[in-house]
Amino acid sequence: MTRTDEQVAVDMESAHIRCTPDGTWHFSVEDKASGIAGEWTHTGNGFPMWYGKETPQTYVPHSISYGYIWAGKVEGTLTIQGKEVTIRGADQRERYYAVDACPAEVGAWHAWMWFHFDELSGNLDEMKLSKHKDMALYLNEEKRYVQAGDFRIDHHDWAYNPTTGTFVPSRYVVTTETEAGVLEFTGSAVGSHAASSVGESPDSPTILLDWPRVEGTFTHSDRRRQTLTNGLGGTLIRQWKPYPDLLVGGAQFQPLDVPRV
Amino acid sequence: MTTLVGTFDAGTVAAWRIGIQGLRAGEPVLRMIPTWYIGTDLDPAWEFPFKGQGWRVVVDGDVPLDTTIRFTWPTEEERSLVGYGNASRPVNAVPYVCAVRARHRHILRTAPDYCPLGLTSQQRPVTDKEYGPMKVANPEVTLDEEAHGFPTEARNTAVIGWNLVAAAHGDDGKQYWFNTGLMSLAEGWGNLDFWQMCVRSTPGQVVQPSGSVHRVAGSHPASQPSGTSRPVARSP
Repeated sequence: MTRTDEQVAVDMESAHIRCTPDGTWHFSVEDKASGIAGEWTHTGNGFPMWYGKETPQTYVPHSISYGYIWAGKVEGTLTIQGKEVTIRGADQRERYYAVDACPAEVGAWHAWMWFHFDELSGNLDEMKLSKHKDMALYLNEEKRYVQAGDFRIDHHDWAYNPTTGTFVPSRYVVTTETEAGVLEFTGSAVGSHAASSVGESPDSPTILLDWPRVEGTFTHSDRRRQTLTNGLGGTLIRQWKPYPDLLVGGAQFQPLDVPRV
Repeated sequence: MTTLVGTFDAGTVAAWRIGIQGLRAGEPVLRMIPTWYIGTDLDPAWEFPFKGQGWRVVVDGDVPLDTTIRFTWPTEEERSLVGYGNASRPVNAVPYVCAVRARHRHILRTAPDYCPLGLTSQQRPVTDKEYGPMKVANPEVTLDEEAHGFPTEARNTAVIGWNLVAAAHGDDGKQYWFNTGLMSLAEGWGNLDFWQMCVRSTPGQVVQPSGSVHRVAGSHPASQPSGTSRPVARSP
């Protein structure tokens, strides 16, 4: 990683990120082994949700972090097996620098969620084991940043996820209450990706759940109810441990060559 | 009182009970109260559902029940064989309670009047200051945060990363989900730098397999390109 007055550059072989002062990250990634490459830009919307800035966030004594997650827009190209596709959508970037990262102790029911509409965007982070809830919203029209409130994530339509040997919620219903208003939205998974797992039971795998869309409303504090448009989002969950593999075929785990963090 | 396991003088402990509760929203929904005694002639008097050994099971619900399950094993015979049963639960619990880190002891809710070893003194409430929501005075992102390396107080399992997850529509009519990350791990993780990227495009669906009682989350079809992770040799 190198820094100048104009940018911060992170380079690892054929993966590169350029972080610039205007709040954008520029990615250039090529994975020859899988035939995937991409050039895209993330632009954060408003302000991020901070894990820690002036002070660290202590989830548990063995998980102490600084950094942020930030929902925004993504635009660029993906090249898959030689075919280039222009893409446009939404995303969440994360800057993370941890004093200590111990997934086992962070443990159960970690939901790491982002959402982006034309009207607002934001992030939620809940770790039920450590009783930790963080959130941030940014309302575009009002240019209002909200980093306090409460939220509730309801899990529905549980289904067995063979790639991790776990049961996962496939539909999420989320309600956030802030002084600016109440945000309600739903997202349903159409796929998943085990982002970090040793693939053996017991483990605490992190699982990205892909949502094709997010539908929601925002009820302003003056009771004006607004239907939100062009919603995208997703979540990463960390479960306490896979469902007992002797019951539902967890022996089919595919070990992943990914460090367990 | 003389028993097969010894004599108990008047004024000494002749019985004890411990209450174990399962709570939901702060209200008990399950409660177990084992009562151990060497006789029922106590001061002050306790109520016993029956004499001898066994269980009284009370269900307060749509189908209310009040049942008694009596052991036919003679109490005196059982007492001579496992007369240490009173002490076994708290004594065996000592190393486990001591091993639990202080911040997790708040989950060990013992009723003080049922706790002969005084374990409640180990409880430590979790405060909002420790686990409250993070608020920052200035939420702006600067290059200082973008360039931040391992914190000065980093332990050997420190991690730094630049990550992204995205959901986007392609000009080919497909939807794409992708994630990428560049991370550095401290010596506890093997002094490793690595990056990863994964792209998914074809939606899966949740299905109910024939004859199953559960549903299966059909992930993105495996035939599509997915991506890999790449360990990177760290510069000296």
